[in-house]
Parts: sequence; C-alpha cells; structure tokens
Amino acid sequence: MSRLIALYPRSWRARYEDEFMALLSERPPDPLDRVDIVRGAIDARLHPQADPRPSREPLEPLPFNGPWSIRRAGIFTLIGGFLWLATMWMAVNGPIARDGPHLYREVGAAMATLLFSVILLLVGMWAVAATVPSTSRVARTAALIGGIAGLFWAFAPWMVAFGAVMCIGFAILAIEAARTGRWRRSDTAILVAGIVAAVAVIVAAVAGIKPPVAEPDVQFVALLILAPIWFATAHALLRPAIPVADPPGDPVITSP
Amino acid sequence: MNQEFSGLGRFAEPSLYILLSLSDGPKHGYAIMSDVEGISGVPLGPGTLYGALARLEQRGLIEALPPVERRRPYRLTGFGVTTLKAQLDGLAGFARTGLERLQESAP
Repeated sequence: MSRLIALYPRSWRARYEDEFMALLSERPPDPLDRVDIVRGAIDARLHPQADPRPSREPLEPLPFNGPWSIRRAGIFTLIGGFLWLATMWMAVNGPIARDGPHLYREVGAAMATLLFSVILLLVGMWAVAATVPSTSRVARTAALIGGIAGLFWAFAPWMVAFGAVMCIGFAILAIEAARTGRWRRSDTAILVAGIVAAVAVIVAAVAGIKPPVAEPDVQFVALLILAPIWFATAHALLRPAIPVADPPGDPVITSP
Repeated sequence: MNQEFSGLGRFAEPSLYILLSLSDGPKHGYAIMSDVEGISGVPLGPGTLYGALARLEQRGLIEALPPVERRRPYRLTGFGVTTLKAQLDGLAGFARTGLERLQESAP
C-alpha cells in the first residue's frame, strides 16, 4: 500500500498520508479502490491546487537569525541595489577603448562598487536561505552553490558563468520562498522576470538583435536589467509575507 | 450547478455527496465513505474522496479539525452550508419541474 501512497506528491503526503492510511486500515482497498488511488495520485500531481496547506496550521514566524536580522539584511540588500545601479552608471560612462576590431569600455572604476554590490546581495541571499523551511533542501543547496558562484563573480565579473549560476540559484531560492509562503508571489515574479529579461537581452544580442545602445554597452543593459534581484529581495526581507520572530533578549514584563 | 461546483469537474458529484454527508455533523474519511455509499448506493473510492476533500477544503466549503488517533474529522463551514443549501434548492427545483412535466404529459 505504501507504494501506492508514494505516487502522491510529497506535500500531499505530508498533509493527508496519516489519515489516508488510517482510512485504508479501516477499509482495505479492493482492486477498484487501488485504481482509484492511482487516479487520485495523478490528479494530485496534475492539479496541485487540490493540495492545500492544513487550514489550522499557520505558518511559523520567520526566525530571527542572529546579529544579521532579516530586516538588517534587507537594508544591506537595498543598499547593494543602489550600488548596482551606480555600478552600471559608471560602467556606461567609462571611456571607450579598442581591442583589435572590438570596442569595449574601461570599467575599472566600477569594479569596487560591483564587488560590494554583489556581496551585499549575497547577504540578502543568505538571509532568505535562512528563512525557508529546513525541509527545502534543494533550494538551500541551490542558494549555497549560487552564493559561492556569486562570490567568485564579484571578484571576476568577466566570468559570466559564475553570474549565471548565482542567478539560477537565486531564482530557485525565491521560487521556494514563495511556495512556502515566505515571499509574496509578486516579489518572486519580479525577481525571475528580471533574470529572464536579462537572459533575453543576451540571447537577442548573440542572435544579432541588439538594443538601441552602443555595442560595448549591450552587456551593461543586460546587467542593469538584473537590478530587480536586489530590489525584490530587499522588499521581501523588509516586508516579509509572514511576521519575523522577536529577537532573543530580556523578556518583556507587562503589568497585569 | 452553482459557481463553487462548476470548477470541480469529475469531483463535483462526490463533493456534493460529501457536503451532504457532513451536513449532520463532522465526520472522518471512513465515516464519510460509508455514509456516501448509504446515500447514493455507489461506493466512493479513497482517491476520489481525498481529491474531493482537498478541493472542498481549498474552496473553504469544509474545514479540517484536529486529528483523533490519526483520523481527521472534517466539518462544513458556514460557506459550505450556504453552498450546499443553494445546490439542494436548485436540485429540488429541477426535480419538481421534471415531475410536473411528466405528470402533464402522462396519458
């Protein structure tokens, strides 16, 4: 029987398995019931809206994670977002240089702000990873890999693959945060849309369709479009979908 | 069929039976299955039962109560009572019209 139950999605089993097994122990299924259970499993996978969270179990508050409180991480991420905009502004205003037939911009002045901007984003990423449920192992692993890649990218922004891995890790984490009720879906949608739009600009450029900017600036347009990652994360951390637990400290004594 | 039932697809009829079963008080899965079989004469499969329960719960027509020895009872919400009544009123009108027409056309 457990093989049939295993056909259901994990979240369905977390919600219904106990009572479902209790039902089957009271009324052992005949062959037609077994077919019905398989149909039910297919339905639960095809229509996950029929897979609600238990109505009487509210979401736990987000944990207060040490000195880097959720709110503080949100403020750092927001600052990182403005630094990112400043980085792109400096980059597109850098002097144009020539490398054989190719033109490029000298962006040395923007390297420091880019480094700090990405590191501040990683602080936000860490805070988000700390607030998703401990059972969200895939998202946490994606955040860890994305965070390490992001750190490399912060020091070597010309290695685009690291940036791509960071973005993918962040997208997985944001989707999980929305799925588990930590983030509003709108924050996740904005973050993912930013990444998709940036990828679209790069793909279009590779395909020969370039935005109406000077050739050396196409990459900065794509990078500028990534800015929603910072701002959506900052918004989600500063205004989480569910309350943040109180920080540990002296108990508050209230008069009777 | 009202709006709450129109999106239930193949779960619409089992859902109506489940609401009817819960109309005299909370019941857990096995009790609902037995009651529905008694009402309709047709057995309700476990997969169909839980597919319908999940949909009804998500739509706010029923709510789960704390489990008792692994068996979780369900009960109608106020919205569920209103929806069931509207559905039964509609069916009653449907049956009345059909019976009247049959009576009029009888030789």
